[in-house]
Amino acid sequence: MKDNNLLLIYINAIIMTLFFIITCMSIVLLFRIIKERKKFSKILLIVSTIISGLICTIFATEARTLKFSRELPDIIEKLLNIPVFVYIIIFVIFISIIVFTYINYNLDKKRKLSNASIKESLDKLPTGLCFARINGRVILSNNKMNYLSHNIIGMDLQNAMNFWNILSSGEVTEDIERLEYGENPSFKLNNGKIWTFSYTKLNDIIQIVASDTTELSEINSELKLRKEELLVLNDRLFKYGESVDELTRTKERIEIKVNIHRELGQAILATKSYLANKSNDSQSIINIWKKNIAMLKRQTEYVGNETPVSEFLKAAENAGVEVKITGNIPTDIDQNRLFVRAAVECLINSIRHANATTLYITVKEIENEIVIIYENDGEKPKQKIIEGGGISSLRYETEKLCGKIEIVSNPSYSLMIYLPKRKEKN
Amino acid sequence: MEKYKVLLVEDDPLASQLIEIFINNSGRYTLEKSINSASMVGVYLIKNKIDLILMDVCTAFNANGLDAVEKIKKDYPEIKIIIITSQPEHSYLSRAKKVNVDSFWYKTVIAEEFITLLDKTMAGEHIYPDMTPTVMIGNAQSIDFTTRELEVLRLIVAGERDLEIAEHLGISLRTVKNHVQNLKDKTGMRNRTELAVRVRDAGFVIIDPKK
Repeated sequence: MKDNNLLLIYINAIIMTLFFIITCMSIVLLFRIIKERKKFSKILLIVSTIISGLICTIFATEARTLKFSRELPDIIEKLLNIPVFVYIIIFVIFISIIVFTYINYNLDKKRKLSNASIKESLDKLPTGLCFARINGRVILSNNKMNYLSHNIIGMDLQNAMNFWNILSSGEVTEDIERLEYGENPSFKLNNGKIWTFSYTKLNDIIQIVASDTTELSEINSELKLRKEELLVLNDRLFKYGESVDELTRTKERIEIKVNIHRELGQAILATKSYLANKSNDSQSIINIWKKNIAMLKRQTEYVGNETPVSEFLKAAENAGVEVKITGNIPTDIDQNRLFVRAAVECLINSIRHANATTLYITVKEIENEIVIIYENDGEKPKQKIIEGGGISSLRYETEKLCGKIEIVSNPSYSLMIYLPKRKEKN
Repeated sequence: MEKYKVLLVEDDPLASQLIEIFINNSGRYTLEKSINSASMVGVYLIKNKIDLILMDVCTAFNANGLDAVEKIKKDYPEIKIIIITSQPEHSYLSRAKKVNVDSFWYKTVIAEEFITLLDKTMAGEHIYPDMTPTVMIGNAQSIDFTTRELEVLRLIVAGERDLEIAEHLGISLRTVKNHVQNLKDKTGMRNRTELAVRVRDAGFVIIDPKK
């Protein structure tokens, strides 16, 4: 009887200890997950704490009873009579709940991002990032953006709106080269890196992003250079087209010369035949020689040194109008052509509408501009000059050379062309 | 019978002299004046009565004869005008018809043919060749190109880039690239520059610098 009692005491002690441990573990875990959104786990842990605590208390009471041999209440007697394996099952269930909850809690903790981890990860980004309230109060700014703020505006990033205003249109520190203003301001830092900023408004949050565009800028520069080279090439192609005209003319001349040569041969043969008394048609032979000599004569006369201006002066003289030019005629080929083109137009108009006998052309150079003024000594216009097709096309040609044209009707007619000075081409 | 007065606009002195001989030997025409640039024609017409103008297209100082004709026909519709050219430029013929040129002559050295053309023109006839002379551009004949390809070709010769051509013609960049590729395939040219140079050399496309 004494041995049985001792065994009971041991069993009681073991069960009590185990459930005490469960109670403690449940309480600790409950405190850990109290802030978490885990309603089910919390309920299980509370149940586990209460039941295990209760079991623990019952067995503690039993132990006291065994020691002091007092009578126990019926309900405790009944509970104590439950087989041990039931308590073992309850223990296994509770310990499983605790283990499961603990593992789940730890996994969640690993999965969840803290503010610090967000900041840490953003700091590792190669781009600059800043989030702020609408009023400019910074919520989050990574290291790169802080670095850029120091470099570009020379101070901490305290107000995102002020920072953006400086970036887009304000003054930056002296040693920073600003490449772009506006929506995508761009800067070149001392280390040669180029940073481009962008601004986005996301509801009540503003976001400023800085990207390293050094490589992109280099590619763009190269592209620009290639584009310029292409333009030069295209221009050369165009100029080539003009020189081909001369080549074509040369081909035509050669063809004519070949024909002359052939006709000269015919003339010699015809003459030879006449001298040998095989032909009596002396007049036709004379005509052939006349024609050939005229051609050869013209060929030697041709020196080909006419210029548009000299041709214009000849034409004006033929039309009975004296042309007086003061100043230096533009030497640039396009401007020179326009000069003559306008002179022809003015000459025709001055004869037709003003019965003029003299055309005055004045060329002035004012700073970076060439001003050409065409006037005549003819009758003054009776009404305002209405621009016709000739002047319209002249205006078009002037604008193509980045110039402008003005017509004055009162007190006398004058046409003025303003052209930008051009550098001498090598 | 009074001879017809002729104004010759030709910048090549040798060609000019040849035509002068043809005219003066005809007995029906007299050469009133020979000038080398279409830009000066307007000045000469003010004081000189002319019945017929023989006008080259590419004249001195980059003056285009067809542009001059357009203006002359407005101011002097009674003057007969014959375009004389040796360039097989594909647009000249249609442009000449558009600006009401009376006759069109591809230069030859045969006098009789030329004087007959003058006579028919003065009699009120309009003499035009059936088509522009065919020239070879690499492996292709000038008649092998479509109208759109010719438009693209003209802009290539003018030194425009694909994107500019697309904007100019109002077509997509991809279409322009296709046309350029087709042109290269047809002619066998390796690149657009070679294509442009060959086309320009042949006189098939001539760009007016003023346009």
